[in-house]
Amino acid sequence: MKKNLSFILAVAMLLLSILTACSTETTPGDSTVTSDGVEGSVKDTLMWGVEAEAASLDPSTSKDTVTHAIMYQIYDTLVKEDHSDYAKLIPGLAESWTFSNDNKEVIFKLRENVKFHNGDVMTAEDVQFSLQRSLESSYSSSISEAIDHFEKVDDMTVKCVLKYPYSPILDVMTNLTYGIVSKRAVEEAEANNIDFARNPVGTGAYKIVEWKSGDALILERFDDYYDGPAKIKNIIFKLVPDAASGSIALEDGTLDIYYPPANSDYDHLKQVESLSYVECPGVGLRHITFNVRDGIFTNKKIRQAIAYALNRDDIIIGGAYGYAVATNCLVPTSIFGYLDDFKWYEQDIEKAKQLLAEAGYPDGFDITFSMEGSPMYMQPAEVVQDQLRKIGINVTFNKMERAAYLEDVAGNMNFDVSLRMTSATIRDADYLLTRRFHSTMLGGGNNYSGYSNPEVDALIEKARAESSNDKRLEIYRQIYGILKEDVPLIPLYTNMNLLFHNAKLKNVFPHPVDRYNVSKMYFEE
Amino acid sequence: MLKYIIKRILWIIPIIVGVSFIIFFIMDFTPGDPAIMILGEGAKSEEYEALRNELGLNDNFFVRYIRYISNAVRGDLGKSYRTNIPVFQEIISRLSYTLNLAVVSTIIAIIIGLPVGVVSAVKQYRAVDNISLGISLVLTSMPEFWFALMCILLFSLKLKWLPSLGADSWKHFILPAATACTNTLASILRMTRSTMLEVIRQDYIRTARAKGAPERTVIFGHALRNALLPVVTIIGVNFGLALGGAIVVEQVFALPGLGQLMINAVKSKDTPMVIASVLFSAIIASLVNLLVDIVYVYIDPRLKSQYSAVKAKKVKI
Repeated sequence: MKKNLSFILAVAMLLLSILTACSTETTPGDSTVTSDGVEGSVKDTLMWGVEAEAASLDPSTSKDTVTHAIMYQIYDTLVKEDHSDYAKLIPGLAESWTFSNDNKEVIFKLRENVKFHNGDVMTAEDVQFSLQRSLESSYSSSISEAIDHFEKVDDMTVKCVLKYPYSPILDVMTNLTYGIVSKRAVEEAEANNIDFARNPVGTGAYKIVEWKSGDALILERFDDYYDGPAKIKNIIFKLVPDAASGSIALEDGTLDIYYPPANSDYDHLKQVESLSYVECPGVGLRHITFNVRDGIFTNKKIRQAIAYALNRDDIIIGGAYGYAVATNCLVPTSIFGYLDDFKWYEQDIEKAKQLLAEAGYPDGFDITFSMEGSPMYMQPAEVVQDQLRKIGINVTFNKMERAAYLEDVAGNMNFDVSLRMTSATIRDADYLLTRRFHSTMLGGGNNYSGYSNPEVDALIEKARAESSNDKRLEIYRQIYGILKEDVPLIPLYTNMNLLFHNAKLKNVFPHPVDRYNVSKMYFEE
Repeated sequence: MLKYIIKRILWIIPIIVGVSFIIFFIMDFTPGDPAIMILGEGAKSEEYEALRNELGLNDNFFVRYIRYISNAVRGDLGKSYRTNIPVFQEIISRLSYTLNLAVVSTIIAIIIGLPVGVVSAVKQYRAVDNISLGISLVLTSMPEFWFALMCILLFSLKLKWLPSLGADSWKHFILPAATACTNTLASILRMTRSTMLEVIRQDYIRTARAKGAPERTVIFGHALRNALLPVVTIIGVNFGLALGGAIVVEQVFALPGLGQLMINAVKSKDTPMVIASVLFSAIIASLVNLLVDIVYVYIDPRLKSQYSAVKAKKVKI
């Protein structure tokens, strides 16, 4: 027995020693760290909870929102948005820019004495290298359609050469895909077989200190930042995959920012005294999309009948807890090209029934919605299901995992109808109208309704080449009119972007795609 | 005994090959295109095609499987589709968190479950037995995520005693371990109780009492030792599962362990990561089973004598 007892004790000791050896003690995670004396902030670490881990911190191989929110602190772009007014474009690493007479070239004059995190001074060579590198990447093709190439003009000037005049080009240049990297750092990383995506070198207000895989990403203030050092010394991006845990951690002070909490928690979080929030419409448009090339929805009258059958205010309450804005155009409300005075179909059940009868379905029919199974799609879809029942359409759902959905519905167009979301990565109507309705985008997961109309194609091309904003808006009005008649998509709502944060964190402004500039924020008593 | 252990370790090889084939097959034939998941929706058809070629996804299933196995034998389990990091490196970096959680939760479950199970059996149908059975029923039935959130609400938000999430210090492991141990604790408690009830009715226990052995010796020296075999099995199985990653607990408490790694890999169709994680879990489960078998030998003198007898016989020959 004694022998056995010693064996058990030995095993226990071994396990305990493993436990001790594995435990880690890191102080940066302590959210109560106090000021290091930097002017303007009483707390020097911002704990920012994120729902997913960054995939890559290399601008040329990243595109998801969370990654870009992190990269926004590490990299700068030639053109950027004003911290307090995201609609206003201001000089970033380019101090000025001019368009050529034919609007097919943009010449960027670079800011002088901008330093990279490795101490190098930024030159036109770095900028041309970074931009061309991102342009040639498969990750950037969705926003780079109009760009032909980038050229170095002289040591402090770079030229963007376009395939055709393209009005939204400045907005494209704000995208983190076109963040500026140090050429030397990229080349050294390649030579030494180091992954640049995990060891980024940019010019941003923060530089990377440590990346604890699956746990946290730790950034530290870059003291030589061209726009002056940030007030908050450290940012810790903490991975919190569960939204309920994130909300609680925000409430108990473990996190200073958590994005995004579940919509269902918004009302509660608004009541928490230690928290504040900012909000603005996002860039995600929930919509119903029809397969107009195959199946029952090739009949326009049926699509119109469904548009008449829906009450979008009820869908917003049931699907987004009221945190959304009914959307009347085929683009989100927050972007250039949205027309406040354009009207979409209002609910009219009798008209819907009449259209169904004219289409040969007076008693309605059964239909399957192909759906990504997440609540963010299923909740509004269930309200739609209820509303369509009133005109005799019985809806069932074919729920899929995201990977299967993207392949089957977006890629192969193997569906009749779906409720999904599309995001305006570039905040200009041209981006979504081109990708969702232009004939050149058929197949490949962009124009997934299969819509093709030469008149719409021509108008989209005309609008993007037009330099007058007023004229562009008028062209978009014509496009929306045609699309309202043809109904390849039914716009439902634009989600609201709410950022909940520690009430002591000041100078926080809303942003539709989560580009929150921490370098301008600070903590107050 | 050593030969037996080597034989068991060698048996892990066909298990791994079988598991790798099954998971490779499942990942390949379930819908979802890794190229779309990597590049997102906006890329062009030719870019998706180029990426599929680069990843070798257009090759025949068996060609890809053989290539995977031959690379794996050379120690190359591939790179994550999502992060481009070698999957082996990623799994190793997560191991300490899962190991911490598994060890602490199992120790807590044993420390509480075993003695309470014994007391419950000895005091059958008395208040202590009814209470412990009730608690074990609650622990088994309670959804893990709910218990985890309740713990966070009470101990982090209201009382502010413990951190709600993270893995920065030992304090961060208390709530996750308390949550992760619930099922194992309940299983150990119930198994200990039922096997103890069988054992304490045996003749040799009556004999031990008749010869005047103190009650403590009867229960812990004679009865418990004989009741331990199935309990050790339960502990081994649960420990093996825990080492594969506690998905719910790791998600709720934001612990960067293997469970979280695996679930994210499945969601993003990160095939190399999924296959490597499952293989890793299979190896761990096999090793824990082996460990349990070895522990049996130390607990049960009959098994020990079997091995000794075989050894003696061979020496004689």
